[in-house]
Amino acid sequence: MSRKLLEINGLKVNVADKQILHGVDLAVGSGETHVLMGPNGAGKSTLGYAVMGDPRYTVTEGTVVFDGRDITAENADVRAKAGIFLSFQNPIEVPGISLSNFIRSALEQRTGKRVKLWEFRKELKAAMEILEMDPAYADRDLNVGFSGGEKKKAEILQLLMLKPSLAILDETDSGLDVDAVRTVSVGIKEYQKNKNASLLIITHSTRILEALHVDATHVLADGQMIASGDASLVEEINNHGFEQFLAR
Amino acid sequence: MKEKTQVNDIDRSMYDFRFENKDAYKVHEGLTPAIVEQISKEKKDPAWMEQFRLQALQIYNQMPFPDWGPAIDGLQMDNIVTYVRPNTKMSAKWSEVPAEIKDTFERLGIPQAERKSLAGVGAQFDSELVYHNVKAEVAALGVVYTDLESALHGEYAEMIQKHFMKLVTPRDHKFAALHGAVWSGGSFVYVPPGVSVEIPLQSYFRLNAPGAGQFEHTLIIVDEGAYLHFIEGCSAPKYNVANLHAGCVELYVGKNAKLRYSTIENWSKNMYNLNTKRAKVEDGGVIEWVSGSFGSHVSYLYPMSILAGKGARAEFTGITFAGKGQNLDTGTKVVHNAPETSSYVNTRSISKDGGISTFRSSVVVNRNAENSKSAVSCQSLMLDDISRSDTIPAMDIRTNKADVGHEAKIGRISDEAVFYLMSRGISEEDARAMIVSGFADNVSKELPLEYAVEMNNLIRIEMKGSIG
Amino acid sequence: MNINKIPAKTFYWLHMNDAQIDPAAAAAEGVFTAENPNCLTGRTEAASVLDIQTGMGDETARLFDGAAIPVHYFTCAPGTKTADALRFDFMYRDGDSVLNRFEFEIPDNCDITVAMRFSAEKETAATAGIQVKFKIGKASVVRLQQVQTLGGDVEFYNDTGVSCDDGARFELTQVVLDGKHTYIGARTSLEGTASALVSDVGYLVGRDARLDMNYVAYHTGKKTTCDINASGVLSGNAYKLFRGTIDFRNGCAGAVGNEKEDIILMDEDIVNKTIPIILCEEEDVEGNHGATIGRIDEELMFYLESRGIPADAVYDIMAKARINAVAARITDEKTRNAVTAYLGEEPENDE
Repeated sequence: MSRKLLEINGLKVNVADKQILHGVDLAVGSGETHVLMGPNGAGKSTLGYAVMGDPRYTVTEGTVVFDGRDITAENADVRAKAGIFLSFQNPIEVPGISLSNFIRSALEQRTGKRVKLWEFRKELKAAMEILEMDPAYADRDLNVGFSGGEKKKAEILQLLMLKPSLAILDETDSGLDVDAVRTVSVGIKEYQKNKNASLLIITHSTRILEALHVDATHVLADGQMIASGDASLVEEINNHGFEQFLAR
Repeated sequence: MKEKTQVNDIDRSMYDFRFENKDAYKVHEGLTPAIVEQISKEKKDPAWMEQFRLQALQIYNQMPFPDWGPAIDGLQMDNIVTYVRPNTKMSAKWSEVPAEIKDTFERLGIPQAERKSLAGVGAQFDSELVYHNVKAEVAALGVVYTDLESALHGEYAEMIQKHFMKLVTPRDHKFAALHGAVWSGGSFVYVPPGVSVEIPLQSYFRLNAPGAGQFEHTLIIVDEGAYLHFIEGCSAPKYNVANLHAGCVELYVGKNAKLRYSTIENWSKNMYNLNTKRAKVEDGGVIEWVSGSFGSHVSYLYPMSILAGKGARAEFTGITFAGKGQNLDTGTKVVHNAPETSSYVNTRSISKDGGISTFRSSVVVNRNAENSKSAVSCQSLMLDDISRSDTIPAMDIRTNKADVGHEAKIGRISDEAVFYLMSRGISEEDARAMIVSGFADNVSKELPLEYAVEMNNLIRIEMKGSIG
Repeated sequence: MNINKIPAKTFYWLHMNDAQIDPAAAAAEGVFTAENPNCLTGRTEAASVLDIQTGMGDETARLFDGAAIPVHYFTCAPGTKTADALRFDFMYRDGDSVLNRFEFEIPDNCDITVAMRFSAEKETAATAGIQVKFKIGKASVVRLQQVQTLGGDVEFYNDTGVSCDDGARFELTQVVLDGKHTYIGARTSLEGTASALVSDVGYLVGRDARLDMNYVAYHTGKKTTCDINASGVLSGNAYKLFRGTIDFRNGCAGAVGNEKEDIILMDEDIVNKTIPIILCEEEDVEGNHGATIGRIDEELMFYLESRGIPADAVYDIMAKARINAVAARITDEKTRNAVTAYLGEEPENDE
């Protein structure tokens, strides 16, 4: 395995005093694509939010190490600056801030430098073309009145613009039609072009994975990792479901 | 070249500088007929104006202080100096304004703004205008923009006598009466029929003397079919004694004319801002108010639109940000007095650090206002649990042929939204500031760019250190 | 005396801050009959037992305390749940100047309905008032359902005050169908955690009648909720003033308040005043208010007309629909039927 980028060690997480994760281990190497699967309610999204540092998810035990640094106690913005990105299942609507201004501010925060407007606009336009987004969305308020598909595309747009070293995609394909899934996949592939770009794809279906290269697959159930393997595991789950692992 | 509009990290102290205007002429504190006569003499009022002032003083003495809004106990009228004349004459040349006063306005960015994007500028320092200028091409259209005092003696004297304090009479409330007695300074604008002034006119009010009151009177007449955008800015340095601003704005919007009146008020936090603004709109005319209230210790501010002509329309867009030690009672009043009139009110208020903001409004639709429409929407944001935010909207509808809607919302910044922004690398402080700026977007998008930038800077200043 | 004061005053010239009344001193207690009172135990007291503020405000104490009338005090065992309503019927007579006073102390885990009907014969000139107080225990549900069908010359004061303990729920349903001057005040103090108020008033105000209301939800408990709804129709020279206040006090974290008013104006000479207030000194709350005042939506009108219903009939149908929607919330069938019977009897009463 290449250099470890994300290491999750014995992570236990509570949500509103209810334990959801019961000691999860996971390591993602730099440039690798991992898939996290599992039945509904397994705790997959919880793992994503806990790695991103959502204050509603309390880590009671274990650590999250990113790029060799223990970030378990860090705020979400610090984690984002360190290079983690989480695409939300239901992106929040933020009235009054345009999508384009928002991405630009996030970039400036990340780099600590002013982002030149002209170059930024050019790059944004190119990224929007890849995602087949109407350029008018750049000037619309962030996620406000976006359809489900547009919101997902706006998340992938941010992924392409912010260029994190690790992207966690939380059910990015859910609720999308076939065409939208294809467009989103194209965006993810574009992100993968950078050989150091790592991915943790949380999904319960396999549609989005069809066109992507996958290095490892993990199965989470009832807050515990019950299986790990290579890309072929995806195929196996596709054919036989999760029951075989649950029965073991 | 560094311009004010591009400074991202301005701090509030830019409004707080002050200098001692030792040579200024002042009247004594407090209020007596003798003081009013002295002001009148000093200003070389016509006889009717002196009479008007003395009558207003009588009314002032008879009327009670308001007891329904923020407390104004800290305002002891006997300690307020009603008239402070800076030691200079009004000038139309920037170079002739005394260096210290010039320095004040330069720091506030007034001359730069004029060069850049304004059709004319007036600057008032304490009780008198010190600078007034209109671009030649605007003046050539017949547009008059001058100080009210010279207008009282010039060719528009009759027009002024006909309109002065006819819309806001001294009987309106105690501070309108006070204004009538001691008013000084302010602007007179006349836009002739059919003339459209494409770029805004601006007045800037600066109250520099401690313990003083500013009582400027703004009278604007936009004649039939004409258009004007007028911008008003206010600031003052902070003193330990109470200052009082009891200005009065009277706007006459003619048939099919349109007036946009924008204000960014940033008085220092020892100011009692008891300002009265009113517009009367004739057939097919439009008044648009854009109002940002950031400063003052106490504010009572409810710009009123009287829709007097068929099809007249009023829009009010406002934002109020009440921080520590501030009690800002703001809103609007609309009276529908003719058929097919319409009013749209859209306000936001923010309370933080123990600040109190109150949205107060009244919409009256009279019996003759058939087929009128009114829609009011107000939203409030609470940033902590030591602040306060009240919404007190009243409606009085007297015709069955009207559609009136109202909606109010109060809430907080959602934790989810903060986390979402933070997950993209934005600090909590900035995330909250961004959300608040977004919340204030209704006003900022109505302002010319440089004012929108200034407003967002003010919000940023207010939001600094807001995370405990 | 000044009653129905709003908790935060506004411009005097609007004449909405309070209502001024000058009632004659009450001569006696109003005559009433009670049905099914056995679910609660009652006794009479000389003075008020429950120290609870009411919607009409402090000055009504002068009205009620000044009159030598008994206080009917009711209570029951914890856990009492009755399907049948405790029903009171008030019939006012010509020349009456009467008051009534009821207080209910409901312990934990109860489910109680109190229904009241106020009526008078035609051509009755009278002044009448009622004050009702409830102290509601933990997890109890109390419904107060009032229907007022007073003739055209009765001045009526209807004053309610409630306090709710943890998880308590108060459902107030009021239907106002006639009367000369009607004053309603209802204040609910949501002290207990997760206590709730649901308040609905439906009214028809016609001729030169006057309806003056003051509803207050006072939130001090965490996660408390209120829904205040008013829906009605004004015709003739009617005057209506609706005051509704959601008061979020410091400490009521998680509270949610909603207020909604929906009014149809039928005639040219009505006066319709509304002041919906939200006061807030807590960050973690959600408050909403909405009002629509005016005519029937044009699209709806067109739709109904296209099905052959003339405009006048549309208004009549809509008016009744509004009242029926509120009346449908009245669980006590007998009281609910009073509304339908009234609407059936005098369908043209405001024409």
